[in-house]
Amino acid sequence: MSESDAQRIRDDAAAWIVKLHEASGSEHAALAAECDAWLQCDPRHRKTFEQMRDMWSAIDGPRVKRRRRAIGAVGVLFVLAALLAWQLPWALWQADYRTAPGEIRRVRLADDSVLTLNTDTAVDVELDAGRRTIRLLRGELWADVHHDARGRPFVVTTPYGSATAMGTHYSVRLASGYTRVAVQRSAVRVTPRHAVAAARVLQAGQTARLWPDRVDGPQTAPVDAPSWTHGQLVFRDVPLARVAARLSRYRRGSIHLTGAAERRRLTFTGVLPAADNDAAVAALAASLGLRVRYITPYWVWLGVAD
Amino acid sequence: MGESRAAVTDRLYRDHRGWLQGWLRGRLACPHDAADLTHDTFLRVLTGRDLQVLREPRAYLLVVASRLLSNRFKRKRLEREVLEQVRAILMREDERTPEVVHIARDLLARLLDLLVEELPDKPRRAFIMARVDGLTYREIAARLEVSESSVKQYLMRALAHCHARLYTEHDS
Repeated sequence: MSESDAQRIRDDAAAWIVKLHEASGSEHAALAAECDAWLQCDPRHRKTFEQMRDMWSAIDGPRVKRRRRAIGAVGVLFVLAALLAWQLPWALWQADYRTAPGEIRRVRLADDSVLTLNTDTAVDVELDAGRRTIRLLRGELWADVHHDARGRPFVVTTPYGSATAMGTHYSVRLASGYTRVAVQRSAVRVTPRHAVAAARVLQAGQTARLWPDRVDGPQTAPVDAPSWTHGQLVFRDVPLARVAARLSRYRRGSIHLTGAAERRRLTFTGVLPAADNDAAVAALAASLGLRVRYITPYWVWLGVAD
Repeated sequence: MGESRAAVTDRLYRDHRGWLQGWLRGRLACPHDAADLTHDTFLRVLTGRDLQVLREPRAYLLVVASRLLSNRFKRKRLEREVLEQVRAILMREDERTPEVVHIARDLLARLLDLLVEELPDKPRRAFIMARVDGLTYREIAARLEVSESSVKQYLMRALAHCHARLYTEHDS
């Protein structure tokens, strides 16, 4: 191949990558189709394009632009959003996928990866020619990453940093102040948002907390899928206050302990349903001999039975 | 990870120090400088990130040493040998495990950091704003005080340049 041929292919490939990067909606679809045709007419085109695409995506900056394509999904979300608008900031209620308190939902993405969204979770999804980006806006997700024939990296980003799949199964939870990442299969690279040099690799069976400027841990973690992905909340000798806090994440409203219940220093071992919060509260109370009082559907007190 | 970090570090240093110092000595007038720079390079690599990157130790050492060299001399040309080592890893298709892909990507990011330094001011800044700072083309256009189509031209030029530098065979 002459150098001038190579240079022409380079210029074309660079033009495709730069144009596709910010195109959205129908414009993106049309460009992608044209680009595909160009890729197929000469194997050198594809090779150069892929090498250059790797260059473009090798530097992990924050996500550049949101793209919305699924008009239907936005319509559906809008109904939910209207219902919840009183508690949701704008960014959450226009998210691509979200779950209500108590809802657990599986979402299959266009690349065949599956996200399981835990209660009260919001994510944006962007699959483009260079990478697969999942933006966790709130809550918790479990990712079953499908191997991508085009080798695009799969990255979950949060305000505190990002987690890049080097394999297949991992969960990411956004807490206040940090993000918890746990890996069940293969490995994940976690990168603090403001300290790229502090990035580290978590192996299967490890969990770590990701802060904007550092990574804590790692500690050991179970290699099974988290129990909430099957709709179960599993507790092993957990203090009552923490059980109540965790159950609260699964309801619209909150669960409180009376002073007398708190003083008993009870712990709970057992499995509660994630999807039926009232049943979970009733089962917890029955097992520990506590009394349930509903002030409103949003405000639940667990007290000592008289 | 069977080996401790200390053991990995020790082996790495023993296996590659002489080679790196030799490479640097060929590029620096003073042998003391070469020894200092060798030391700095190891320090930078070893205190950097997880040691998985050291599955390709020589390519990493060369990229890091090149950066230190160019800091020292404000030199812009990357050594051919560095590019060839990195290219060899990127083009290797025999073992595309997730770890190898990850290593190649990390190495590529470091190398790009050096290659964009060779670009004229505006294409270089446009590329960094687009990929590192995550700005939109419109935001970049406003900051550089040029049109959006110029921003796209800069980015295409940056990509084509980096690709040409890395993937052109040096026949001469």
